[in-house]
Amino acid sequence: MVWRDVRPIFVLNPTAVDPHIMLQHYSRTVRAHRDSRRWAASLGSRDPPVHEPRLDASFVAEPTGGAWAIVQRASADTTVDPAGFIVSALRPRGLVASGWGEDGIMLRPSLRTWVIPVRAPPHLFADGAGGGWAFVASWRAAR
Amino acid sequence: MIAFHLFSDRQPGPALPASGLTLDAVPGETVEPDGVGGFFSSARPTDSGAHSLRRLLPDGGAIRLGAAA
Repeated sequence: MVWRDVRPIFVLNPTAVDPHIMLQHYSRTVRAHRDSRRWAASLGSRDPPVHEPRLDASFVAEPTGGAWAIVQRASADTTVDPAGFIVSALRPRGLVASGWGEDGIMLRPSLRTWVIPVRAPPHLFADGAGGGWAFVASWRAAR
Repeated sequence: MIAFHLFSDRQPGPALPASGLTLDAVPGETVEPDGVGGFFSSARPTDSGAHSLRRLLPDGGAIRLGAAA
């Protein structure tokens, strides 16, 4: 199950709320799997709440088991931190795959190329050999 | 459109730049790998109902039909 979660950035002095994406694996008997986190995993960030909103996520099955996730990340100030996409590999039971960290990988296009998550959704494909392809829309900065 | 290829150990595929491969496809087209290093790009139907499907080379460029060999 995947859901968008909104909570204040600063609990003691809430000034803003940013959405992030949560993932929880359930068994066929609708119980949270004992190996997964009790309170679900945050996709595309180590610990929620995060300063840059995570807008949405999409998934594709990995044929060898598990899944790939791509999270759309907005930016409140693109001069400080660009918007973009975060890719994570997930194990069959919903945990981030070993070695991927909890932040996943931020796809970083070259300079003068912008990716704008809200304008076009990304697409993911397993490559059939344990890896994955990600395709994202981009725009060239005006010269 | 930009393509990224990641291995299961989170390393980028060596055939593509780490900053992604720029494809000869525009936002709104759907791109997917062709399984042999290149890509397919498809566009939504136009008002006349026509679909378009293009083959992209491993370097991201479009195959030009009728081009001299």
